[in-house]
Amino acid sequence: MLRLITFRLAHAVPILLIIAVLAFLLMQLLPGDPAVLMAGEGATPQAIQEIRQRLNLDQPLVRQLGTWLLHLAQGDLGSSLQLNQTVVSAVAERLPVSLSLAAISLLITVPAGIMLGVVAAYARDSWLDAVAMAVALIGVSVPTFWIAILSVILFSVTLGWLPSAGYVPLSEGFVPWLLALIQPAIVLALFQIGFLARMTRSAMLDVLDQDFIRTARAKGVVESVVLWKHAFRNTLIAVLTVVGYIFSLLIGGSVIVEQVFALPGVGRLVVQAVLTRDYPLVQGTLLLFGFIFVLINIATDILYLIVDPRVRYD
Amino acid sequence: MSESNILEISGLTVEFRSGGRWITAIRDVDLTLAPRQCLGIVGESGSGKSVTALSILRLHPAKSTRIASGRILYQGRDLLAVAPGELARIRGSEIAMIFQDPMSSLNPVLTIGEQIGETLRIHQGLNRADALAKAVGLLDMVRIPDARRRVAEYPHRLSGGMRQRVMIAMAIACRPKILIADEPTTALDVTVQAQILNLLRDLREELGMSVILISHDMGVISEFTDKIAVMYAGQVVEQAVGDGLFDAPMHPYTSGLLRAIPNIDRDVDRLATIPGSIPDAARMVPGCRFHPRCPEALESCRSEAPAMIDLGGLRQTRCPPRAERQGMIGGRS
Ligand SMILES: Nc1ncnc2c1ncn2[C@@H]1O[C@H](COP(=O)(O)OP(=O)(O)OP(=O)(O)O)[C@@H](O)[C@H]1O
Ligand SMILES: [Mg+2]
Repeated sequence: MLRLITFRLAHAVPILLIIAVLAFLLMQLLPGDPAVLMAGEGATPQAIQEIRQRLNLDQPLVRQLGTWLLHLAQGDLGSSLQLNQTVVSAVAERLPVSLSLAAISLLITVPAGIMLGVVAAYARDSWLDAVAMAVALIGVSVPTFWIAILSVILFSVTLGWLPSAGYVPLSEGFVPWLLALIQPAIVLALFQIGFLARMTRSAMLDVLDQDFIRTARAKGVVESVVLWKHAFRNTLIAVLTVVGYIFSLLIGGSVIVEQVFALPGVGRLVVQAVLTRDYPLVQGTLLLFGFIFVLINIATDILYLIVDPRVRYD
Repeated sequence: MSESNILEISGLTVEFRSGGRWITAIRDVDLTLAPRQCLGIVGESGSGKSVTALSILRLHPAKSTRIASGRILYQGRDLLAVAPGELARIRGSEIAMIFQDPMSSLNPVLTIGEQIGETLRIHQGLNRADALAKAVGLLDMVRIPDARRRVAEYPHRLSGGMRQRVMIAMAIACRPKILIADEPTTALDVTVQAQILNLLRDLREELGMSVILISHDMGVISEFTDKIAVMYAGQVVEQAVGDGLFDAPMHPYTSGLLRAIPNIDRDVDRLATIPGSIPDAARMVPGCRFHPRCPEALESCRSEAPAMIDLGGLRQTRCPPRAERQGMIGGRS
């Protein structure tokens, strides 16, 4: 098992390298002279020249790539053009916000989605199944920004229960932090719950038709245990895959929710960076997302080993 | 319920939902099982053997199945009417079942020890450690070598024969009074088949169980059972105790099955088969269900659905012409 984990980690190195090169190439793929683009309209030739030098754009391509990778290895992604910060510190400052949001959202999504999916599968074709799947469908098909706005109108404006915007760091207390994030987290979760519920349901339907479920019943196992111990455990691989995927979506896909709720997270940083043509920052966030995807993938693979004996041995 | 039987199935009719209609899979099945008896059920694929067996523990898919009529009496209670909690108590502890495909009948994510031990924990209230210790003993009993190591393993590490042994260990864990074995060796190769059947016979004697052994193999049935029911198209068509059925089959379908047994002594070019196939349950033929394939069919066989005829000596048949001939012979002598 340890060997498999090591193997999996080693496998990730070339992928991470490719992501780094892609992030670098982003700058080169821009039509025209990136320095001119970045400087914006009406920039003086001196300003353009300055940017060019700062970003090493006057050097040969291979040399530029070498420098970029070397700096990257040292944890240096350059400086933002617009913010008075290095890219690393700009991202590091906002990452806790996005991670908090994603974590709370995931904590809501996983139990709710699994519950809904398992119940729907067990009560297949009954009204309970129909209701559960209708809820899931609404979650998946209604646009997130629309739910976000409705939610703010109801819970923040009309009822005044929750803050409508802003972030409170965890260091200022658990409750204020949770209060600030709970509404956007639920809004984010609604889509993911629907997605997870549908995937869980179909995985459960497959398993419930298997012979070993009949064996369990023939032994006198009661239905709730048949459902959770005998059936659900066999869907864990499928469920884990979806949860891993959802987690990466949550980190990357919180752009809209962070915008609506004015949360200073990475999602907002990306939007800001793109709008202001802050390319070093775009590169940095791209790199971050790539790394997170890869990390989540590795984590999912390792969890497979824990939940499924067949993977463990082969 | 007669005192001498541990299980009595009477008038059992089971229907399945298919495309909005209810299709009758088995009709009016009567079977009895005496203590320590081994009842064999034989018949072609699709004749209703599994449907009959699964009815005893009500293991059919609940939503698409309907037990239209019948009773299954076990110790004076109708299993078709007992509450779910009581049924769960009987399942696995008093009546146990093993299935045709050992490859898919074990849970792939639970260890063998866990799966055997679960039965003991449910029905005997053992804790995990005691259940596991007892599981080792059970694996020894079904002759799995190196049982202590095997309990910690997962099913995919075992061969088909070994898995069927695990299924048997699981089934006998609580010393059930009845063991239902639905084609326990069909999926296994021949040498393993004999081992499993011998094991089942030994365990039956050791534990004093009654066994229902389902097979489509006449050879297996003749060797291992002491009472035989032949099923065709959802009905029992002939019943006999002992070797009577092989010496003088009282139904043309049984005769056909016997002719189809491969025989090493007899040198034949081609194995005899019964021409035609089982009629579709959704469009059941009128009259005797076997008449389209029967070489002895009379005009009356096409129109009149025959009832079970008692021939005495625990012999029964659904073939009136053969019963009549037998009666004539009996009358003359
Ligand atoms: N769950 C079900 N839903 C619908 N029809 C079913 C179901 N189970 C069995 N049947 C039908 O009932 C009939 C009898 O099937 P059964 O499984 O009892 O046959 P069998 O004698 O056990 O055959 P085999 O030797 O192939 O196991 C078949 O026509 C089959 O299609
Ligand atoms: Mg069958």
